[in-house]
Amino acid sequence: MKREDLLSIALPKGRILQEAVGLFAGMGIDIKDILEDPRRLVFELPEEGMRFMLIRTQDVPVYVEYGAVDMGIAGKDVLYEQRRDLYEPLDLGIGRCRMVVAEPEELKERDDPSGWTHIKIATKYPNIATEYFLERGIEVEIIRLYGSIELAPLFGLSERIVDLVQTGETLRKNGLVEVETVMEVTAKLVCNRASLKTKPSRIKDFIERLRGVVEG
Amino acid sequence: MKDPSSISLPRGVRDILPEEAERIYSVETTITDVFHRQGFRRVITPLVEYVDVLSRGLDERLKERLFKFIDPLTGRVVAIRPDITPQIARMVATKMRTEGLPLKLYYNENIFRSTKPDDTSTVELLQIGAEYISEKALPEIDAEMITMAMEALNRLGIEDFRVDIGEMGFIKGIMAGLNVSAGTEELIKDAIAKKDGGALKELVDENMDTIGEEAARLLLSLTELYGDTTVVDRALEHVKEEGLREHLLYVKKVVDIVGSNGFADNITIDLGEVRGFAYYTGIIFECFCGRMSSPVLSGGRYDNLMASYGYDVKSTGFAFDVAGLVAILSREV
Repeated sequence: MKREDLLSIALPKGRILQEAVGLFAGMGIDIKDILEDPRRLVFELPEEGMRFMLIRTQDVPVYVEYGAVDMGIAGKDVLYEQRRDLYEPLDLGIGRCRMVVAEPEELKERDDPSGWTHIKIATKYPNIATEYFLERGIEVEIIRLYGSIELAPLFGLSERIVDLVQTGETLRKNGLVEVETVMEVTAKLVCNRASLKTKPSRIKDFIERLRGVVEG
Repeated sequence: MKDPSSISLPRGVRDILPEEAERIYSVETTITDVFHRQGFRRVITPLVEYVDVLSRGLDERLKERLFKFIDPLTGRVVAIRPDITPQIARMVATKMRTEGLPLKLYYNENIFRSTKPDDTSTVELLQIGAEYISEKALPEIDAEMITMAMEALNRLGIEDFRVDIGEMGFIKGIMAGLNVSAGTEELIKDAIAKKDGGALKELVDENMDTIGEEAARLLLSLTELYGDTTVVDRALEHVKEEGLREHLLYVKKVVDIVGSNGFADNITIDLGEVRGFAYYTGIIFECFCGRMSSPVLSGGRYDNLMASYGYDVKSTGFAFDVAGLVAILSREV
């Protein structure tokens, strides 16, 4: 099989990867070597007709939309933030976490979210945060950050943040508490439009095998 | 650093140098030659139109992408065309009624579609397209159009392509029977557009009392009804309602004719495709080649378009993305 005939899949580096490797193992596709060497970014399994690449989670939707890879795995946080033109055929139920509004504990004691009219938010997710507050009629000033969002209230950059939480440990350590849940997040399988149209049976077969593992 | 913007171009437009211009010319002459042989005649439409006139025949998504300005003398809002089809509809409705039907017309023009500030993709597109305006909507006509597009691709030397066929009337028919709120309908459409079966199932379960079991089953099948041409037969086995069956039989007829013209292996089906929901009324199709992620050809039937310009006749058409074809022929993708 020629390289361009391999089904290519972009996997996100980070916390979702380990669970994704587990799902593929359930399909009989062994890619656990991908966890061993963090510098190796491309893995080919010609016997399965597949090719995997490791990239940053925010880059997965881009690679898939442009057709550089056929499919990818990305969290709903990234997908909703970027809103690219992709198929999202399967919720994988992995990488489970929540996107929340959080603020310092002492603020919460006197705060009433139903009275918010204008707020300042630090976040990695400007689009999701803007839409969430605007839908409720709250004007929002967004300060876009690229990491360590929980430091913003500590240093007075913004009073509140919108960020992902898993256990809530990071928030607690920084004196923050959750006030509202913006969305529940899991990772989805995404697929390029042209790939699905030009090789429908291979893509569909792959999706159904993976669905079997996810639902089974 | 010197200011690089001093003599640069606006975002999304570009110069085309002789070598590429020559390739474009060759693509244009090949395609328009095929159109001529099939009896299509060229028309030329103006670069700008009144926005309210243009909007009567625009797909919802394109209305948001207009370059608009105020005509200084009349004070009316004018837009650069983002699509030629509504212009031809206006032209035919106002100036060509006496010619009789059918009317077979083609165009070779540039169009402008604004993009979001963070999107640096092309704003000016080169399109060659054809329109077939007739008294009735017939599968033979849609099949003739698709066949002509495929022949043009072959003449260009492109053999490895797929034309993906859907049916907007079928989906609209299903949606019309759901009795859900407009907001829920949008969410359902969005889930179908993304082939997100999980999200669709949640929405259907929440609204089961109004949707009903029969419609629910049909709706949920939409994210799976894609693949080779047997998809249409599979759908026909499940669909009982006569109106919906007619749409499927229409697709089947088109597929049969295009197949018998020697293009059976180039057809795929996707009955869950909802692209251009507000605009199309029947068959829709898009052509994908190689690793190119955007279609080089898209079109379909829009039977309400002519009526929105006051001439109650039917129409179907398609357009090639010329730059996309040149990129494929130059093996850039």
